Amino acid sequence: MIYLDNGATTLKKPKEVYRNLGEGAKILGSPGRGGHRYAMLAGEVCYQCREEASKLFNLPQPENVIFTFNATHGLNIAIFSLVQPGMRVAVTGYEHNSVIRPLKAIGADVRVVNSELFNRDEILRAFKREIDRGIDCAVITHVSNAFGFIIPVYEIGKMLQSRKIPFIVDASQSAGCLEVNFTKLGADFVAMPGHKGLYGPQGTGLLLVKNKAKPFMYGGSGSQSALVTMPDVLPDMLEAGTHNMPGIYGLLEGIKFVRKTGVNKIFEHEVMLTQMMAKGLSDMEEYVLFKSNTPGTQSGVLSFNLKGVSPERTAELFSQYGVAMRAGLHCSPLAHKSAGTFPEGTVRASVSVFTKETEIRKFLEISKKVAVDCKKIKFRS
Amino acid sequence: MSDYVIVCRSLTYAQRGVRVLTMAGFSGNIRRTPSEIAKEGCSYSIFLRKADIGYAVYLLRRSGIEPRKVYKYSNGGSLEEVTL
Repeated sequence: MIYLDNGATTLKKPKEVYRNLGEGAKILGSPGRGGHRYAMLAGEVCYQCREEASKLFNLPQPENVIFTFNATHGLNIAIFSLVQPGMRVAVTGYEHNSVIRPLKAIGADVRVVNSELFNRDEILRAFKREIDRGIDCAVITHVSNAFGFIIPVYEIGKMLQSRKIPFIVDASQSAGCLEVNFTKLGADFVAMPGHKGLYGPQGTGLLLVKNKAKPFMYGGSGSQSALVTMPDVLPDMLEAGTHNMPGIYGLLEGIKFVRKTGVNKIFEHEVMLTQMMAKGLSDMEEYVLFKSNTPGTQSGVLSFNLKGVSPERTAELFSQYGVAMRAGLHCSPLAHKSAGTFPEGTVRASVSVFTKETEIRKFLEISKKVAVDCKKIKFRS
Repeated sequence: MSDYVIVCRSLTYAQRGVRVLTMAGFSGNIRRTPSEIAKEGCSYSIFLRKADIGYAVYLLRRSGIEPRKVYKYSNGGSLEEVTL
């Protein structure tokens, strides 16, 4: 199997992640729920994981690293902390439903900042216009999950900070493969999954918090238990209920791996493979590609379509040859509307640090076969 | 036997606090806060051996860790609050 669905979940992890997942289920108790060795060990694992994350993302305080169950969970905490009904919230035209749906549920006035795919200058100009019109808050994805478009979050963040407008960054597709410097970004919140570029297990995520937040879930926290309200300190305020300890233990190793390998090195590898895919597919006239010609504007995600064939059918054909990819809207209908690929969407190939060049070469050979197969099918029908 | 108990706002604060103090040469560990001083229910504290408690608290505050309370074990074994 050639696994090219790393934008959804990185399937291959460092071996230490698998080891910790298994061990964690055996030796870790609940952190903050006792003074015995199993609870204290779990507490230590949590702290080490927060510490590793705070180093990777340049946060001064590990307690501002919150464990979530995925990026969606973190985004919901962030959005419900900042946004009130009727607030004017600017978002890029490439946001995921994990941003749009909570905003709509709150009843926010969502202002979509549209721009052409891979056009950094245009999105910056459009954001400036929207800020000048007047907004209360912004949510910005760092990288489009559907197209790999790298949004200039640092520049947008600077504009927002100069007007004292709070903002949230969705780092679902960038954490672990692009620099996410929390202090430099100046965001109020940055949400990310643990199971993608951080190579942790599913059911893990992180939310980086600048200072203020509101509890999203209420319940036991292992602290200030005599009170009927949630604790007033981070991380306890945002971590009600039992932690996913085997997951956090696995995530710890994933983050260590990313730090050891180096984010820039991971990015370079992923971009090199994406360019290899793009070059190979662009030599085949049957395919339509969504690729950037400007360096630094596309990550390890490549969307494409096979002319005259639906994305779902295309992905199915690839799957028959042993290639795993995701087709459709990728939970980002807004991104497909912005790119003009709504409602059918695209086929998305997304790589990881573990994807090999030989796999991409094989993928390109299979791409030729799929194109030929489709011609035969069309001819027969 | 510890001499001082620094009640922390959360386990995470206690964990960061003990690292700050250890780096400065203090000897301490984290344990559950004794029930007689855990006014708000479950919590964790840093237990310190003979120490310049004033300096320890100064280091914690400088790192953004404000202790909830600080107690000293009396000769009789009871805990007495220390005001710093």
